Amino acid sequence: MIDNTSVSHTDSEETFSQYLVETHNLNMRFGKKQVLRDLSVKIRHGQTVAIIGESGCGKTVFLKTLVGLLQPTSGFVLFDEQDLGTLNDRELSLLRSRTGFVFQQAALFDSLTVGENIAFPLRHAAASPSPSSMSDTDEVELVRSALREVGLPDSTLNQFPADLSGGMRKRVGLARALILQPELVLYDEPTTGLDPIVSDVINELIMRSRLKRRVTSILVTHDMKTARKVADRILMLYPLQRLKEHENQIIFDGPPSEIEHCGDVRVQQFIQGEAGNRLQELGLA
Amino acid sequence: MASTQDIPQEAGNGELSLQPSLLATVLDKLDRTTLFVGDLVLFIIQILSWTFSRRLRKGTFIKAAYQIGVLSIPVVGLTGMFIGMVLAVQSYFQFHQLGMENRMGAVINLTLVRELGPVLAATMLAGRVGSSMAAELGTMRVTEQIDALSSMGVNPVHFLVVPRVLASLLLIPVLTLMADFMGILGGFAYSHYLLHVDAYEYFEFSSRYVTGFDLLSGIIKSLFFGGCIGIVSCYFGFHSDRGAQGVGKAATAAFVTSFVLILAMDLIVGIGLDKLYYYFYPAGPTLF
Repeated sequence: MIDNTSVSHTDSEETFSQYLVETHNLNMRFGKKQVLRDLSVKIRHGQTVAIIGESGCGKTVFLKTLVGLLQPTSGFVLFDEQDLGTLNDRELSLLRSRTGFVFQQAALFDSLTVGENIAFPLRHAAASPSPSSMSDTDEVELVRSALREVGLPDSTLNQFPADLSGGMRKRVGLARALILQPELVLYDEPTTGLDPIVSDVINELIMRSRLKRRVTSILVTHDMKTARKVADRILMLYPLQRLKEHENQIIFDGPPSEIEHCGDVRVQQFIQGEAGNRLQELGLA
Repeated sequence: MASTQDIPQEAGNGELSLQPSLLATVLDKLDRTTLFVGDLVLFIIQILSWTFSRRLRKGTFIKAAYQIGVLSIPVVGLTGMFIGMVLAVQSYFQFHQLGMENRMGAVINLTLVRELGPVLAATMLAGRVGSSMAAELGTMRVTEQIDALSSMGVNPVHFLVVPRVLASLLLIPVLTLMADFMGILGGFAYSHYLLHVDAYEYFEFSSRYVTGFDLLSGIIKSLFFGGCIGIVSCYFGFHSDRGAQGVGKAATAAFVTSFVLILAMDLIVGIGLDKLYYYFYPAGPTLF
Protein backbone atom coordinates (compact mmCIF):
# COMPACT_ATOMS: atom_id res chain seq x y z
CA MET A 1 0.00 0.00 0.00
CA ILE A 2 1.33 3.44 -0.86
CA ASP A 3 1.54 6.05 1.81
CA ASN A 4 -0.32 9.26 1.08
CA THR A 5 2.67 11.44 1.79
CA SER A 6 5.10 9.54 -0.42
CA VAL A 7 2.98 9.14 -3.48
CA SER A 8 5.82 9.47 -5.95
CA HIS A 9 8.16 6.56 -6.45
CA THR A 10 10.86 9.01 -7.49
CA ASP A 11 13.78 10.13 -5.41
CA SER A 12 12.71 11.94 -2.26
CA GLU A 13 15.66 14.34 -2.61
CA GLU A 14 14.12 15.92 -5.67
CA THR A 15 13.38 19.57 -5.25
CA PHE A 16 9.92 21.12 -5.46
CA SER A 17 10.51 22.76 -8.85
CA GLN A 18 11.26 19.44 -10.56
CA TYR A 19 7.56 18.69 -10.61
CA LEU A 20 5.42 20.04 -13.42
CA VAL A 21 2.14 18.87 -11.92
CA GLU A 22 1.24 18.23 -8.30
CA THR A 23 -2.02 17.43 -6.65
CA HIS A 24 -2.51 17.77 -2.92
CA ASN A 25 -5.29 15.96 -1.07
CA LEU A 26 -7.55 16.17 -4.08
CA ASN A 27 -11.18 15.29 -3.41
CA MET A 28 -13.93 15.25 -5.98
CA ARG A 29 -17.57 14.66 -5.29
CA PHE A 30 -20.55 14.72 -7.68
CA GLY A 31 -23.64 15.14 -5.53
CA LYS A 32 -23.49 12.36 -2.98
CA LYS A 33 -20.98 10.29 -4.93
CA GLN A 34 -17.35 10.73 -4.07
CA VAL A 35 -15.05 9.87 -6.97
CA LEU A 36 -11.61 10.98 -5.79
CA ARG A 37 -10.34 10.92 -2.21
CA ASP A 38 -7.21 12.59 -0.88
CA LEU A 39 -5.20 12.10 -4.03
CA SER A 40 -1.69 13.49 -3.76
CA VAL A 41 0.48 12.93 -6.80
CA LYS A 42 3.65 14.60 -8.07
CA ILE A 43 4.68 14.33 -11.69
CA ARG A 44 8.15 15.32 -12.83
CA HIS A 45 9.04 17.25 -15.99
CA GLY A 46 9.43 14.88 -18.91
CA GLN A 47 7.78 11.95 -17.17
CA THR A 48 5.18 9.78 -18.89
CA VAL A 49 2.61 8.56 -16.42
CA ALA A 50 -0.11 6.03 -17.21
CA ILE A 51 -3.14 6.11 -14.96
CA ILE A 52 -4.89 2.79 -15.00
CA GLY A 53 -7.89 1.41 -13.20
CA GLU A 54 -11.29 -0.03 -13.83
CA SER A 55 -14.16 2.01 -15.26
CA GLY A 56 -15.67 4.51 -12.85
CA CYS A 57 -12.61 4.78 -10.59
CA GLY A 58 -12.15 8.46 -11.44
CA LYS A 59 -9.26 8.40 -13.94
CA THR A 60 -10.77 10.85 -16.40
CA VAL A 61 -12.06 13.07 -13.61
CA PHE A 62 -8.54 13.18 -12.19
CA LEU A 63 -7.11 14.04 -15.63
CA LYS A 64 -9.59 16.86 -16.12
CA THR A 65 -8.86 18.41 -12.73
CA LEU A 66 -5.18 18.67 -13.69
CA VAL A 67 -5.95 21.45 -16.20
CA GLY A 68 -8.92 22.94 -14.36
CA LEU A 69 -11.61 21.47 -16.63
CA LEU A 70 -13.18 20.24 -13.39
CA GLN A 71 -12.84 22.03 -10.07
CA PRO A 72 -11.97 19.75 -7.17
CA THR A 73 -14.35 19.72 -4.21
CA SER A 74 -11.32 20.19 -1.98
CA GLY A 75 -7.56 20.03 -2.28
CA PHE A 76 -5.55 21.79 -4.95
CA VAL A 77 -3.59 21.31 -8.14
CA LEU A 78 -0.24 22.97 -8.81
CA PHE A 79 0.85 23.36 -12.42
CA ASP A 80 4.41 24.57 -12.63
CA GLU A 81 4.04 25.77 -9.04
CA GLN A 82 0.88 27.77 -9.79
CA ASP A 83 -2.24 26.86 -7.85
CA LEU A 84 -5.00 26.45 -10.46
CA GLY A 85 -7.64 27.49 -7.93
CA THR A 86 -6.10 30.96 -7.50
CA LEU A 87 -5.86 31.78 -11.22
CA ASN A 88 -8.31 34.08 -12.98
CA ASP A 89 -9.86 33.16 -16.35
CA ARG A 90 -7.11 34.83 -18.36
CA GLU A 91 -4.31 33.19 -16.39
CA LEU A 92 -6.01 29.81 -16.57
CA SER A 93 -6.44 30.18 -20.35
CA LEU A 94 -2.75 31.03 -20.73
CA LEU A 95 -1.79 28.08 -18.61
CA ARG A 96 -4.01 25.72 -20.58
CA SER A 97 -2.32 26.89 -23.79
CA ARG A 98 0.80 25.19 -22.41
CA THR A 99 -1.01 21.88 -22.38
CA GLY A 100 -2.52 19.60 -25.01
CA PHE A 101 -5.46 17.33 -24.41
CA VAL A 102 -6.25 14.29 -26.54
CA PHE A 103 -9.85 13.33 -25.80
CA GLN A 104 -11.33 9.84 -25.76
CA GLN A 105 -13.47 10.46 -28.85
CA ALA A 106 -10.96 12.99 -30.23
CA ALA A 107 -13.47 15.86 -29.67
CA LEU A 108 -12.78 17.37 -33.08
CA PHE A 109 -15.01 20.31 -34.02
CA ASP A 110 -17.33 18.71 -36.51
CA SER A 111 -18.20 21.97 -38.27
CA LEU A 112 -14.52 22.52 -39.15
CA THR A 113 -12.31 20.66 -41.59
CA VAL A 114 -9.32 18.64 -40.41
CA GLY A 115 -7.00 21.51 -41.38
CA GLU A 116 -9.10 24.04 -39.48
CA ASN A 117 -9.22 21.74 -36.47
CA ILE A 118 -5.44 21.44 -36.34
CA ALA A 119 -4.99 25.17 -36.95
CA PHE A 120 -7.55 26.04 -34.27
CA PRO A 121 -5.06 26.40 -31.37
CA LEU A 122 -2.82 28.55 -33.61
CA ARG A 123 -5.68 30.93 -34.28
CA HIS A 124 -7.57 30.94 -31.03
CA ALA A 125 -5.60 29.65 -28.07
CA ALA A 126 -4.70 32.29 -25.49
CA ALA A 127 -0.95 31.81 -25.94
CA SER A 128 -1.05 31.22 -29.70
CA PRO A 129 1.29 33.15 -31.99
CA SER A 130 -0.23 36.56 -32.77
CA PRO A 131 -1.89 36.72 -36.21
CA SER A 132 0.68 39.27 -37.38
CA SER A 133 3.59 37.01 -36.50
CA MET A 134 2.39 34.12 -38.66
CA SER A 135 1.41 34.35 -42.29
CA ASP A 136 -1.27 32.14 -43.82
CA THR A 137 1.45 30.25 -45.70
CA ASP A 138 3.37 29.58 -42.49
CA GLU A 139 0.19 28.40 -40.81
CA VAL A 140 -0.69 26.03 -43.64
CA GLU A 141 2.85 24.67 -43.66
CA LEU A 142 2.75 24.12 -39.91
CA VAL A 143 -0.59 22.32 -40.18
CA ARG A 144 0.70 20.12 -43.03
CA SER A 145 3.79 19.28 -41.02
CA ALA A 146 1.66 18.40 -37.95
CA LEU A 147 -0.49 16.20 -40.15
CA ARG A 148 2.52 14.41 -41.63
CA GLU A 149 3.91 13.87 -38.13
CA VAL A 150 0.90 11.75 -37.30
CA GLY A 151 1.12 9.92 -40.61
CA LEU A 152 -1.86 11.45 -42.38
CA PRO A 153 -1.72 12.58 -46.02
CA ASP A 154 -2.26 16.19 -47.08
CA SER A 155 -5.47 15.10 -48.80
CA THR A 156 -7.18 14.80 -45.40
CA LEU A 157 -6.75 18.54 -44.76
CA ASN A 158 -10.05 19.47 -46.36
CA GLN A 159 -12.03 16.50 -45.07
CA PHE A 160 -14.49 16.79 -42.21
CA PRO A 161 -14.10 14.71 -39.02
CA ALA A 162 -17.24 12.72 -39.88
CA ASP A 163 -15.44 11.39 -42.98
CA LEU A 164 -12.55 9.93 -40.95
CA SER A 165 -12.12 6.57 -39.23
CA GLY A 166 -11.72 6.39 -35.44
CA GLY A 167 -7.94 5.97 -35.70
CA MET A 168 -7.60 8.91 -38.09
CA ARG A 169 -9.70 11.10 -35.79
CA LYS A 170 -7.46 10.19 -32.87
CA ARG A 171 -4.39 11.11 -34.92
CA VAL A 172 -5.91 14.44 -35.93
CA GLY A 173 -6.70 15.03 -32.24
CA LEU A 174 -3.08 14.26 -31.42
CA ALA A 175 -1.83 16.65 -34.14
CA ARG A 176 -4.11 19.40 -32.75
CA ALA A 177 -2.93 18.77 -29.20
CA LEU A 178 0.74 18.96 -30.21
CA ILE A 179 0.70 21.89 -32.62
CA LEU A 180 1.51 24.51 -29.99
CA GLN A 181 4.33 22.31 -28.67
CA PRO A 182 2.84 21.97 -25.20
CA GLU A 183 4.82 21.14 -22.08
CA LEU A 184 2.17 18.72 -20.86
CA VAL A 185 0.03 16.40 -22.97
CA LEU A 186 -2.95 14.62 -21.43
CA TYR A 187 -4.37 11.59 -23.18
CA ASP A 188 -7.79 10.26 -22.25
CA GLU A 189 -7.93 6.63 -23.32
CA PRO A 190 -5.99 7.22 -26.54
CA THR A 191 -6.29 3.65 -27.82
CA THR A 192 -9.80 2.73 -26.68
CA GLY A 193 -11.96 1.44 -29.52
CA LEU A 194 -9.06 1.05 -31.95
CA ASP A 195 -7.76 -2.15 -33.49
CA PRO A 196 -4.41 -3.47 -32.14
CA ILE A 197 -2.41 -2.17 -35.09
CA VAL A 198 -3.81 1.35 -34.98
CA SER A 199 -3.47 1.25 -31.16
CA ASP A 200 0.21 0.55 -31.58
CA VAL A 201 0.52 3.36 -34.13
CA ILE A 202 -0.93 5.73 -31.51
CA ASN A 203 1.49 4.33 -28.90
CA GLU A 204 4.42 4.96 -31.21
CA LEU A 205 3.23 8.49 -31.94
CA ILE A 206 2.96 9.23 -28.21
CA MET A 207 6.50 7.92 -27.69
CA ARG A 208 7.85 9.89 -30.64
CA SER A 209 6.28 13.13 -29.45
CA ARG A 210 7.89 12.57 -26.06
CA LEU A 211 11.32 11.87 -27.56
CA LYS A 212 11.11 14.79 -29.96
CA ARG A 213 10.01 17.47 -27.54
CA ARG A 214 10.57 15.96 -24.09
CA VAL A 215 7.00 16.69 -23.12
CA THR A 216 5.45 15.48 -19.91
CA SER A 217 2.63 13.07 -20.69
CA ILE A 218 -0.19 11.73 -18.58
CA LEU A 219 -2.41 9.11 -20.11
CA VAL A 220 -5.49 7.44 -18.83
CA THR A 221 -5.86 3.96 -20.22
CA HIS A 222 -7.35 0.52 -19.71
CA ASP A 223 -4.90 -0.92 -22.17
CA MET A 224 -2.03 -2.57 -20.31
CA LYS A 225 -0.02 -2.91 -23.51
CA THR A 226 -0.13 0.87 -23.95
CA ALA A 227 0.73 1.47 -20.31
CA ARG A 228 3.71 -0.91 -20.39
CA LYS A 229 5.04 0.37 -23.71
CA VAL A 230 4.61 4.11 -23.34
CA ALA A 231 4.80 4.95 -19.66
CA ASP A 232 7.75 5.16 -17.34
CA ARG A 233 5.45 5.25 -14.35
CA ILE A 234 2.10 3.64 -13.70
CA LEU A 235 -0.49 4.81 -11.19
CA MET A 236 -3.42 2.56 -10.48
CA LEU A 237 -6.60 4.03 -9.01
CA TYR A 238 -9.25 1.91 -7.35
CA PRO A 239 -12.97 2.73 -7.14
CA LEU A 240 -13.82 4.28 -3.77
CA GLN A 241 -16.90 2.15 -3.26
CA ARG A 242 -14.61 -0.90 -3.08
CA LEU A 243 -12.23 0.69 -0.60
CA LYS A 244 -12.38 1.04 3.14
CA GLU A 245 -12.34 4.55 4.58
CA HIS A 246 -8.65 4.57 5.55
CA GLU A 247 -7.35 2.98 2.34
CA ASN A 248 -5.42 4.99 -0.25
CA GLN A 249 -7.14 5.26 -3.63
CA ILE A 250 -3.80 4.74 -5.39
CA ILE A 251 -3.12 1.05 -5.08
CA PHE A 252 -0.02 0.98 -7.26
CA ASP A 253 2.55 3.64 -8.06
CA GLY A 254 5.73 2.52 -9.75
CA PRO A 255 7.53 1.73 -12.99
CA PRO A 256 5.94 -0.71 -15.46
CA SER A 257 8.57 -3.34 -14.71
CA GLU A 258 7.37 -3.57 -11.09
CA ILE A 259 3.67 -3.93 -11.71
CA GLU A 260 4.02 -7.58 -12.75
CA HIS A 261 5.56 -8.36 -9.35
CA CYS A 262 3.10 -6.35 -7.31
CA GLY A 263 1.64 -8.52 -4.56
CA ASP A 264 -1.72 -6.73 -4.45
CA VAL A 265 -4.36 -9.12 -5.75
CA ARG A 266 -6.46 -6.21 -7.03
CA VAL A 267 -3.59 -5.02 -9.23
CA GLN A 268 -2.94 -8.52 -10.53
CA GLN A 269 -6.63 -9.02 -11.23
CA PHE A 270 -6.67 -5.85 -13.33
CA ILE A 271 -3.48 -6.43 -15.30
CA GLN A 272 -4.40 -10.07 -15.97
CA GLY A 273 -7.92 -8.99 -16.95
CA GLU A 274 -9.65 -11.48 -14.64
CA ALA A 275 -13.25 -11.11 -13.49
CA GLY A 276 -12.49 -12.73 -10.10
CA ASN A 277 -15.45 -12.47 -7.77
CA ARG A 278 -17.24 -9.88 -9.91
CA LEU A 279 -19.48 -12.49 -11.49
CA GLN A 280 -20.73 -13.45 -8.04
CA GLU A 281 -21.25 -9.77 -7.16
CA LEU A 282 -23.31 -9.35 -10.30
CA GLY A 283 -25.31 -12.46 -9.53
CA LEU A 284 -24.03 -14.20 -12.66
CA ALA A 285 -22.00 -16.97 -11.06
CA MET B 1 -33.71 15.33 -0.03
CA ALA B 2 -37.33 14.67 -0.64
CA SER B 3 -38.03 12.93 -3.88
CA THR B 4 -40.78 13.17 -6.45
CA GLN B 5 -40.71 9.39 -6.54
CA ASP B 6 -42.62 9.27 -3.26
CA ILE B 7 -45.90 7.47 -3.77
CA PRO B 8 -49.02 8.58 -1.88
CA GLN B 9 -49.60 6.17 0.99
CA GLU B 10 -53.01 4.76 1.77
CA ALA B 11 -54.18 6.01 5.14
CA GLY B 12 -55.83 3.76 7.72
CA ASN B 13 -59.37 4.79 6.76
CA GLY B 14 -58.79 3.77 3.17
CA GLU B 15 -58.31 7.31 1.84
CA LEU B 16 -55.16 8.32 0.05
CA SER B 17 -52.92 10.45 2.24
CA LEU B 18 -51.35 12.89 -0.19
CA GLN B 19 -49.89 15.34 2.29
CA PRO B 20 -46.32 14.05 2.81
CA SER B 21 -45.82 13.25 -0.85
CA LEU B 22 -47.27 16.58 -1.96
CA LEU B 23 -44.99 18.45 0.40
CA ALA B 24 -42.01 16.45 -0.81
CA THR B 25 -42.94 17.12 -4.41
CA VAL B 26 -43.40 20.84 -3.80
CA LEU B 27 -40.08 21.05 -1.96
CA ASP B 28 -38.36 19.11 -4.70
CA LYS B 29 -39.80 21.36 -7.39
CA LEU B 30 -38.86 24.43 -5.39
CA ASP B 31 -35.34 23.14 -4.96
CA ARG B 32 -34.97 22.43 -8.67
CA THR B 33 -36.46 25.78 -9.66
CA THR B 34 -34.15 27.65 -7.30
CA LEU B 35 -31.15 25.78 -8.72
CA PHE B 36 -32.29 26.47 -12.29
CA VAL B 37 -32.84 30.19 -11.66
CA GLY B 38 -29.53 30.54 -9.81
CA ASP B 39 -27.69 28.69 -12.57
CA LEU B 40 -29.36 30.79 -15.25
CA VAL B 41 -28.50 34.04 -13.46
CA LEU B 42 -24.86 32.97 -13.16
CA PHE B 43 -24.88 32.07 -16.86
CA ILE B 44 -26.28 35.52 -17.76
CA ILE B 45 -23.63 37.21 -15.61
CA GLN B 46 -20.94 35.21 -17.43
CA ILE B 47 -22.38 36.21 -20.82
CA LEU B 48 -22.52 39.90 -19.84
CA SER B 49 -19.03 39.80 -18.41
CA TRP B 50 -17.55 38.22 -21.57
CA THR B 51 -19.58 40.50 -23.86
CA PHE B 52 -18.14 43.65 -22.38
CA SER B 53 -14.69 42.48 -21.30
CA ARG B 54 -13.32 41.11 -24.54
CA ARG B 55 -13.90 41.58 -28.26
CA LEU B 56 -15.58 38.78 -30.14
CA ARG B 57 -13.29 36.33 -31.88
CA LYS B 58 -12.86 36.84 -35.60
CA GLY B 59 -15.67 35.42 -37.70
CA THR B 60 -17.74 34.04 -34.83
CA PHE B 61 -20.43 36.74 -34.95
CA ILE B 62 -20.76 36.71 -38.75
CA LYS B 63 -21.23 32.94 -38.74
CA ALA B 64 -23.86 33.10 -35.99
CA ALA B 65 -25.60 36.06 -37.66
CA TYR B 66 -25.82 34.15 -40.92
CA GLN B 67 -27.24 31.05 -39.24
CA ILE B 68 -29.66 32.94 -37.05
CA GLY B 69 -30.64 35.91 -39.19
CA VAL B 70 -30.12 35.31 -42.90
CA LEU B 71 -31.32 31.71 -42.96
CA SER B 72 -34.45 32.61 -40.97
CA ILE B 73 -35.63 35.30 -43.42
CA PRO B 74 -37.57 32.99 -45.80
CA VAL B 75 -39.51 31.15 -43.07
CA VAL B 76 -40.27 34.34 -41.11
CA GLY B 77 -41.35 36.15 -44.30
CA LEU B 78 -43.56 33.28 -45.43
CA THR B 79 -45.30 32.80 -42.09
CA GLY B 80 -45.70 36.58 -41.76
CA MET B 81 -47.47 36.71 -45.11
CA PHE B 82 -49.83 33.90 -44.17
CA ILE B 83 -50.66 35.54 -40.84
CA GLY B 84 -51.50 38.78 -42.66
CA MET B 85 -53.82 36.87 -44.98
CA VAL B 86 -55.44 34.95 -42.11
CA LEU B 87 -56.12 38.24 -40.32
CA ALA B 88 -57.78 39.57 -43.49
CA VAL B 89 -59.96 36.46 -43.77
CA GLN B 90 -61.00 36.55 -40.11
CA SER B 91 -61.70 40.29 -39.86
CA TYR B 92 -63.46 40.73 -43.21
CA PHE B 93 -66.74 39.14 -42.16
CA GLN B 94 -67.09 41.27 -39.01
CA PHE B 95 -66.18 44.50 -40.78
CA HIS B 96 -68.35 43.67 -43.78
CA GLN B 97 -71.38 43.25 -41.48
CA LEU B 98 -70.81 46.82 -40.30
CA GLY B 99 -69.98 48.06 -43.79
CA MET B 100 -66.55 49.15 -42.63
CA GLU B 101 -64.31 46.79 -44.56
CA ASN B 102 -62.29 49.75 -45.84
CA ARG B 103 -60.97 50.13 -42.28
CA MET B 104 -59.63 46.59 -42.11
CA GLY B 105 -56.11 47.74 -42.92
CA ALA B 106 -55.88 49.64 -39.65
CA VAL B 107 -56.75 46.58 -37.56
CA ILE B 108 -54.63 44.14 -39.54
CA ASN B 109 -51.57 46.36 -39.64
CA LEU B 110 -51.88 47.49 -36.02
CA THR B 111 -52.17 43.87 -34.86
CA LEU B 112 -49.19 42.91 -36.97
CA VAL B 113 -46.74 45.62 -35.96
CA ARG B 114 -47.64 45.67 -32.27
CA GLU B 115 -48.24 42.01 -31.56
CA LEU B 116 -48.17 39.32 -34.18
CA GLY B 117 -45.06 40.43 -36.09
CA PRO B 118 -42.69 40.33 -33.09
CA VAL B 119 -44.30 37.26 -31.49
CA LEU B 120 -44.35 35.37 -34.77
CA ALA B 121 -40.73 36.23 -35.61
CA ALA B 122 -39.68 35.23 -32.08
CA THR B 123 -41.63 31.97 -32.20
CA MET B 124 -40.11 31.04 -35.53
CA LEU B 125 -36.66 31.97 -34.24
CA ALA B 126 -37.16 29.88 -31.09
CA GLY B 127 -38.31 26.92 -33.17
CA ARG B 128 -35.84 27.14 -36.01
CA VAL B 129 -32.77 28.53 -34.30
CA GLY B 130 -33.27 28.12 -30.55
CA SER B 131 -33.70 24.37 -30.56
CA SER B 132 -30.96 24.02 -33.17
CA MET B 133 -28.54 26.05 -31.00
CA ALA B 134 -29.43 23.96 -27.95
CA ALA B 135 -28.94 20.72 -29.90
CA GLU B 136 -25.65 21.91 -31.39
CA LEU B 137 -24.20 23.05 -28.06
CA GLY B 138 -25.61 19.94 -26.36
CA THR B 139 -23.86 17.71 -28.87
CA MET B 140 -20.67 19.69 -28.37
CA ARG B 141 -20.99 19.18 -24.61
CA VAL B 142 -21.66 15.44 -24.94
CA THR B 143 -18.80 14.87 -27.40
CA GLU B 144 -16.41 16.90 -25.20
CA GLN B 145 -15.93 19.62 -27.84
CA ILE B 146 -16.70 22.24 -25.18
CA ASP B 147 -14.06 20.69 -22.91
CA ALA B 148 -11.68 20.69 -25.89
CA LEU B 149 -12.18 24.46 -26.29
CA SER B 150 -11.48 25.02 -22.59
CA SER B 151 -8.42 22.79 -22.74
CA MET B 152 -7.01 25.03 -25.48
CA GLY B 153 -7.45 28.12 -23.36
CA VAL B 154 -10.54 29.30 -25.23
CA ASN B 155 -13.46 30.28 -23.02
CA PRO B 156 -16.52 28.45 -24.40
CA VAL B 157 -18.98 31.09 -23.20
CA HIS B 158 -17.03 33.80 -25.03
CA PHE B 159 -16.48 31.67 -28.12
CA LEU B 160 -19.81 29.88 -28.48
CA VAL B 161 -22.46 31.66 -26.45
CA VAL B 162 -21.76 35.39 -26.75
CA PRO B 163 -21.86 35.49 -30.61
CA ARG B 164 -25.11 33.49 -30.66
CA VAL B 165 -26.82 35.64 -28.02
CA LEU B 166 -25.69 38.86 -29.72
CA ALA B 167 -26.82 37.61 -33.13
CA SER B 168 -30.24 36.66 -31.71
CA LEU B 169 -30.55 40.01 -29.97
CA LEU B 170 -29.43 42.19 -32.86
CA LEU B 171 -31.07 40.35 -35.74
CA ILE B 172 -34.52 39.73 -34.33
CA PRO B 173 -35.59 43.36 -35.00
CA VAL B 174 -34.74 42.79 -38.66
CA LEU B 175 -36.74 39.57 -38.71
CA THR B 176 -39.62 41.33 -36.96
CA LEU B 177 -39.62 44.05 -39.62
CA MET B 178 -39.60 41.30 -42.24
CA ALA B 179 -42.59 39.59 -40.61
CA ASP B 180 -44.39 42.96 -40.34
CA PHE B 181 -43.71 43.84 -43.96
CA MET B 182 -44.74 40.47 -45.36
CA GLY B 183 -47.81 40.37 -43.10
CA ILE B 184 -48.90 43.83 -44.25
CA LEU B 185 -48.31 42.77 -47.84
CA GLY B 186 -50.22 39.50 -47.40
CA GLY B 187 -53.12 41.17 -45.60
CA PHE B 188 -53.38 43.87 -48.25
CA ALA B 189 -53.06 41.46 -51.16
CA TYR B 190 -55.86 39.24 -49.83
CA SER B 191 -58.10 42.17 -48.89
CA HIS B 192 -57.63 44.04 -52.15
CA TYR B 193 -57.40 41.31 -54.77
CA LEU B 194 -59.74 38.71 -53.30
CA LEU B 195 -62.08 40.70 -51.07
CA HIS B 196 -62.02 43.81 -53.28
CA VAL B 197 -61.31 46.29 -50.48
CA ASP B 198 -60.28 49.67 -51.85
CA ALA B 199 -56.51 50.02 -51.77
CA TYR B 200 -56.42 53.76 -51.09
CA GLU B 201 -58.78 53.55 -48.11
CA TYR B 202 -57.08 50.43 -46.81
CA PHE B 203 -53.78 52.27 -46.45
CA GLU B 204 -55.34 55.64 -45.62
CA PHE B 205 -56.95 54.21 -42.47
CA SER B 206 -53.80 52.28 -41.69
CA SER B 207 -51.62 55.35 -41.77
CA ARG B 208 -54.13 57.19 -39.62
CA TYR B 209 -54.17 54.63 -36.83
CA VAL B 210 -50.79 52.89 -36.97
CA THR B 211 -48.17 55.21 -35.51
CA GLY B 212 -44.40 55.08 -35.43
CA PHE B 213 -44.71 54.21 -31.74
CA ASP B 214 -46.63 51.04 -32.63
CA LEU B 215 -43.83 49.93 -34.92
CA LEU B 216 -41.23 50.87 -32.32
CA SER B 217 -43.05 49.01 -29.55
CA GLY B 218 -42.96 45.85 -31.67
CA ILE B 219 -39.22 46.29 -32.20
CA ILE B 220 -38.62 46.90 -28.48
CA LYS B 221 -40.55 43.74 -27.61
CA SER B 222 -38.54 41.78 -30.16
CA LEU B 223 -35.28 42.78 -28.45
CA PHE B 224 -36.50 41.16 -25.25
CA PHE B 225 -37.59 38.07 -27.16
CA GLY B 226 -34.28 37.77 -29.04
CA GLY B 227 -32.18 38.08 -25.89
CA CYS B 228 -34.37 35.52 -24.17
CA ILE B 229 -34.15 32.99 -27.04
CA GLY B 230 -30.37 33.32 -27.26
CA ILE B 231 -29.74 32.99 -23.53
CA VAL B 232 -32.27 30.22 -22.83
CA SER B 233 -31.27 28.10 -25.84
CA CYS B 234 -27.56 28.38 -25.12
CA TYR B 235 -28.18 27.66 -21.43
CA PHE B 236 -30.02 24.40 -22.13
CA GLY B 237 -27.48 23.35 -24.76
CA PHE B 238 -24.57 24.19 -22.51
CA HIS B 239 -26.04 22.20 -19.63
CA SER B 240 -27.27 19.27 -21.69
CA ASP B 241 -27.33 15.81 -20.13
CA ARG B 242 -25.36 12.97 -21.66
CA GLY B 243 -26.54 10.92 -24.61
CA ALA B 244 -28.96 11.43 -27.46
CA GLN B 245 -31.84 11.70 -25.01
CA GLY B 246 -30.07 14.50 -23.13
CA VAL B 247 -29.54 16.49 -26.30
CA GLY B 248 -33.15 15.93 -27.38
CA LYS B 249 -34.41 17.08 -24.00
CA ALA B 250 -32.21 20.18 -24.17
CA ALA B 251 -33.61 21.11 -27.60
CA THR B 252 -37.20 20.63 -26.44
CA ALA B 253 -36.64 22.50 -23.18
CA ALA B 254 -35.02 25.37 -25.09
CA PHE B 255 -38.07 25.80 -27.34
CA VAL B 256 -40.72 25.31 -24.67
CA THR B 257 -39.05 27.62 -22.14
CA SER B 258 -38.32 30.26 -24.78
CA PHE B 259 -41.91 30.14 -25.99
CA VAL B 260 -43.40 30.47 -22.51
CA LEU B 261 -41.02 33.32 -21.69
CA ILE B 262 -41.83 35.05 -25.00
CA LEU B 263 -45.52 35.07 -24.14
CA ALA B 264 -44.90 36.14 -20.54
CA MET B 265 -42.60 38.95 -21.66
CA ASP B 266 -45.06 39.92 -24.36
CA LEU B 267 -47.61 40.57 -21.63
CA ILE B 268 -45.27 42.37 -19.24
CA VAL B 269 -43.45 44.48 -21.85
CA GLY B 270 -46.79 45.07 -23.61
CA ILE B 271 -48.31 46.53 -20.43
CA GLY B 272 -45.27 48.74 -19.92
CA LEU B 273 -45.32 49.95 -23.51
CA ASP B 274 -49.08 50.59 -23.36
CA LYS B 275 -48.54 52.87 -20.40
CA LEU B 276 -45.91 54.72 -22.41
CA TYR B 277 -48.27 54.84 -25.39
CA TYR B 278 -51.04 56.50 -23.42
CA TYR B 279 -48.50 58.90 -22.01
CA PHE B 280 -47.62 60.03 -25.53
CA TYR B 281 -51.10 59.59 -27.07
CA PRO B 282 -53.57 60.27 -24.22
CA ALA B 283 -56.57 60.01 -26.58
CA GLY B 284 -55.59 56.49 -27.60
CA PRO B 285 -56.46 54.85 -30.92
CA THR B 286 -60.06 55.38 -32.06
CA LEU B 287 -60.97 53.25 -34.98
CA PHE B 288 -64.61 54.17 -35.29
